[in-house]
Amino acid sequence: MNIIAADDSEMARKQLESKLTNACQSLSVPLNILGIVHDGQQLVNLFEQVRATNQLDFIFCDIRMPNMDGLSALVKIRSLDRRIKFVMVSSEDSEKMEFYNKFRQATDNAAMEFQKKIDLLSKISGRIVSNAVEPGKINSMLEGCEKLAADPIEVAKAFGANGYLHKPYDDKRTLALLNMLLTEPGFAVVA
Amino acid sequence: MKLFGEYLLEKKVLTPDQLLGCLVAQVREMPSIASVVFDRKLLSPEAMLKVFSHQAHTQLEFRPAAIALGFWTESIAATVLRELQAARTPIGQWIVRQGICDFKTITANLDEFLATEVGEHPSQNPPFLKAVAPSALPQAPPLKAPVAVEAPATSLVFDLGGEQVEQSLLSDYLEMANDDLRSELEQCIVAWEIDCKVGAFEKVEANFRTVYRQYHTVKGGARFIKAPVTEKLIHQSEELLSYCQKKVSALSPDNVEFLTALNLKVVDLIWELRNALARDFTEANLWQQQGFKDKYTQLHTQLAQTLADWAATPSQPDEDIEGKF
Repeated sequence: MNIIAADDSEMARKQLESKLTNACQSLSVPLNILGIVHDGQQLVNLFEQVRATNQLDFIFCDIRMPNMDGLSALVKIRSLDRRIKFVMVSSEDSEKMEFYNKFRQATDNAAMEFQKKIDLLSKISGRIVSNAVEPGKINSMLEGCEKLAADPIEVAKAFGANGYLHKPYDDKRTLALLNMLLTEPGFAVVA
Repeated sequence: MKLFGEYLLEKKVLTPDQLLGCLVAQVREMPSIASVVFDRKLLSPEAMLKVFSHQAHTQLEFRPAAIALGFWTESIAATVLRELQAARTPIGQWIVRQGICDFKTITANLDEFLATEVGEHPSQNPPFLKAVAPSALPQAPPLKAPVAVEAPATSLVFDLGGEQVEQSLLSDYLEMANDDLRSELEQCIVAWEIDCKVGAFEKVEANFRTVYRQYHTVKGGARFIKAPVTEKLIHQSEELLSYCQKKVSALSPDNVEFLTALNLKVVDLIWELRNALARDFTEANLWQQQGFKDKYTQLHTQLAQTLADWAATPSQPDEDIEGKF
């Protein structure tokens, strides 16, 4: 199983490597981690570098990172490869997901229809795919989600992610997620 | 580099006697390192006595003596030094306090000093910016009744279990939550106020994001090592920042000043907890101290209440939100 990953926290990178190793041992699957980088831009670069010579199976990507966030990296990588399984990772709390609904009366943009939000976010994704940064516009998918009060996990799903793993990593949940991704269709969530 | 006091002298804002009076007052009021260590319980009483004894025999200052005896690492000693410096009332405040200048005049001079003499972005010089910052937390803008928002917690309970955190993970956490990260956070937070004052809302928003991301990383680390007290405080701070990111242009300078003071307190507490973890391998001992618990609960409640109040305050929809996409 060939994997690449991105997380800006060194602790998280170490933990991910350790938990993936344990999960693959339990599944009796050989694990080959081809690189774990610090941000979305590095992930895109690593992906382009290794995919020429390796058959990549999974990408694990944190959502909130400097330089390029995980959602923007997802969009860029999906434009290059539809097959690879892309797992979003974050330590956003479940309450954080509810936050967007909690303040919907006060947060004017929360009332906007989800599809309308996706249409607006598609404008950002279009610029990311074509490497176009437009001054004065929002050029980050995560920033766009925040402006629109859109749940980043739902947005990740809409833009082609295959699963979501909530941090901190532990053996049981990492194994459960890999099992789901390997055996079941659809979006796998282990929160 | 020219100092702010020298600059004010040159501009004849104050006389040499007045400046000297302020500097003497500043030094007189500055607490000793031993009192800071004692008040904040950075060493046990037994360890403090050993340090005093070692000082008497070696003529070493307090910090090198504590390091020589193995009570502190260089990193902890640097944190203590920062605590000490932070406890000093900035010269700008002394000038205002002694009635030599009013707040507005000193702020205008500080801005000019930063622009002409320092020649760097103000956020790179937080000590200068703090020269006139109020030391106490300002009051939040008038509160309105919350709408559809849960009441903030008034008492907090943590399951600290009495067990120590895993050593290998803890050393990773301490390395991550280092002094450089604290400085970076403080610089970004102080920059909010300055950028807001000059109407640079895009920079304020970008700095909100940076602080949010750094908080998030520390929170993730705290969760790894099972440090729920740290995690909860950061979570509440994130909630407020998350809301503010969406409403930057609606924030008044007073709101931003309040937010700045609040977040500097958050950083103080995160690092107080971090130092407790380094010392005790658990948050439990610090949490059992009533003084800390009160300070923490007050700050946590203030964060929650501010979010509830601001979110409940009707505001104009974001201007041309779709045009930003």
